[in-house]
Amino acid sequence: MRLFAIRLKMLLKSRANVFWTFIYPLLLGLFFYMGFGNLSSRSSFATVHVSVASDMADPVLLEAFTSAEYDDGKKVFQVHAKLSREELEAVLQEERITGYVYREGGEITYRIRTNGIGESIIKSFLDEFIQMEHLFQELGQLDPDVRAGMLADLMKDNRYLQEINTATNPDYNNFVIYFYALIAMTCMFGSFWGVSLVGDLQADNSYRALRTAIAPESKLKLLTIYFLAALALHFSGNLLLIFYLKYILDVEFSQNLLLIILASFVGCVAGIAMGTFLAGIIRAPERKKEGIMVVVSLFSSALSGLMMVKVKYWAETYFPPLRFINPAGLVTDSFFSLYYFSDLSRYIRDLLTLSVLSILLVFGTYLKMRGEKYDSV
Amino acid sequence: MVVKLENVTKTYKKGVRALDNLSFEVRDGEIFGLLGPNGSGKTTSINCLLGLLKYESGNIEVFGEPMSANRYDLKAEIGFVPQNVAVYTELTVYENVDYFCGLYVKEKEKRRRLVEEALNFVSLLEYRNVYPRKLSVGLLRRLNIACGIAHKPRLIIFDEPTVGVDPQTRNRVLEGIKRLNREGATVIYTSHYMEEVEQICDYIVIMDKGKVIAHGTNEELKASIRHGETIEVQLLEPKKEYLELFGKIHNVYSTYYKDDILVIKSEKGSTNIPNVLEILKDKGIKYGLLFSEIPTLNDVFLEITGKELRD
Repeated sequence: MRLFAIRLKMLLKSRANVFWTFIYPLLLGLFFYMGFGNLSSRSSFATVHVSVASDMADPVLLEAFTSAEYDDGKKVFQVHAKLSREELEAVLQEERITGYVYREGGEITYRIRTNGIGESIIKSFLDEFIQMEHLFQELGQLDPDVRAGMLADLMKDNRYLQEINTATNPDYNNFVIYFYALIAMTCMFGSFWGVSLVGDLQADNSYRALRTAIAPESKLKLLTIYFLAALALHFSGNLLLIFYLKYILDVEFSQNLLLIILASFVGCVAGIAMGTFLAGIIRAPERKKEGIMVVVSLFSSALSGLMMVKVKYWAETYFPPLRFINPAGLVTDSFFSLYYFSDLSRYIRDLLTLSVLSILLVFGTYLKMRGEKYDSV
Repeated sequence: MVVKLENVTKTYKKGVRALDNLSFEVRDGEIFGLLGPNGSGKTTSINCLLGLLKYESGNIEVFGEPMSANRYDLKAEIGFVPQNVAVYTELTVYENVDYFCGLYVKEKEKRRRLVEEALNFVSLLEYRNVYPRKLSVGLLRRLNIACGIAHKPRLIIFDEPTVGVDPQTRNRVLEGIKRLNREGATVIYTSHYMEEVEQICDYIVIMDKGKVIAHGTNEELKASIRHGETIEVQLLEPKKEYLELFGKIHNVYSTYYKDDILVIKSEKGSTNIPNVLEILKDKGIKYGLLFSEIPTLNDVFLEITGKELRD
């Protein structure tokens, strides 16, 4: 506890740390607010282009697709001509449709080319359709025609569309995404804390680190204490940012603020863990490491779609493992999934992946630093 | 034996051999001096001894046990005062000593007492709440020492602790080291200042190019060389022929000019001052100052390596 308190004091006394953690995100938030404030407007989803396999005789599903409408009466889906699987695959790759539906082993399934809002709408719509279909199959005593009619009617119910539209927040607002991006980016700033904490533990980095390295104190213990101290400050900075955005700038997040805070917390852990790991494995002076961290943070943030949402999907399409190893991508994905989906499964998956990744990164750092001997100090 | 290095060889990445089969032993209770010019391998040997550096071959033992980075039990008994000031500028004087002492001593009350003692030892009690940025170089050096000794280690390693300090601080540091030794600590003191090593060390190892080139007590080292006396005469009219003239004196083995000063070096034996004075008088050579110097560790180094310690 004593080491934790001293470490906190050390970090708080560093003006650079305080600025980048507490002041800079607030300033950026203010600039975002000033820049995007007048762009705030209600948005509506575009019509999604889908197609159905030619061997799929399922009038109820087709009816459900064609009759689904948004609140404003616009069609949710534009259903294209039935085609063979090969033809469908070709038009999908040409991006003429967002996805197509077919049956495999008696089950309705779908194929999409990438991830996105349209794709998510297809997925959620089908999930609900299949759920309803199973429900009605269980109520097998109903006349099949009546059953089909009820199913088609139920799918017309735009409650489903309201739900996907950020559940309880009808004010779907594009510019909120930028504030999510800001929080995610601030989480990634934790990498600088990581560099700083490793710098104080690696004997070849500074004389005070050398003095700490020769003390009879386990690296794991010091790494943990330093990490927790950095996390305490970094997370405080993020909390301050979230409350500032919500209560001072009146940014409308999805209503579940606790989930945003939780994602931010895990994001902070991941940010520091990433910095810790990279600083641990890179042999360079601290200044150089900070420079590398700027590049890595910006690059990973860019790949996670902080600047342009589509980049994330392109990057993850061409290099799928990125979905699991890019902390910035996972943080933004968790925020976006909170924003776009009422279902928390993707959010939970993102946070779990992020947690596992963070543990692996910190453990990797420990393995690297444990009993470390240097070529030169 | 407190420390034992046996045939330790360390080569840096660029192929520079820093330690070349280096061996020495440090006995309990002594002030052990590691003397050598910059780049001779003193700091490298200390860093190997502390378990920080990789080395290709050889063995290092501390308190009779093999030393490694994970030997916390051995590390707990070692104090280290590095060449450069190693403190946190974000913490006050007291907090710095308390922080580093706390890495060794967990008990709060005991630590508080040790920190007070350390600050008192280096006369920094009145600066306890001051931040390092506001301290002079001399005071920073004292803080650096306090951070390394507060936990009362059995073995204290000082790596060139007086580099860049004023003579007053230097004397204070050296006095402090002698006092720590009197209180029971074994001390390893590295320096390229022969005067300091001569002044405080019981046993001296002279290093050059990663090797031990001589070792022994101050007296033993000086006795091991043929040089016995250096007489320097400031001549008002230096002439080349005087070199031969004074070179003929019994036991003189070298004469040369250092600017306008004639340097006469003699082998061990009786002093040559009367002989030099007689020649000066007989030949009517005008001179200013004349002084004689007994052998120094620099002479030892010079005789073995052919170069000055501070080259």
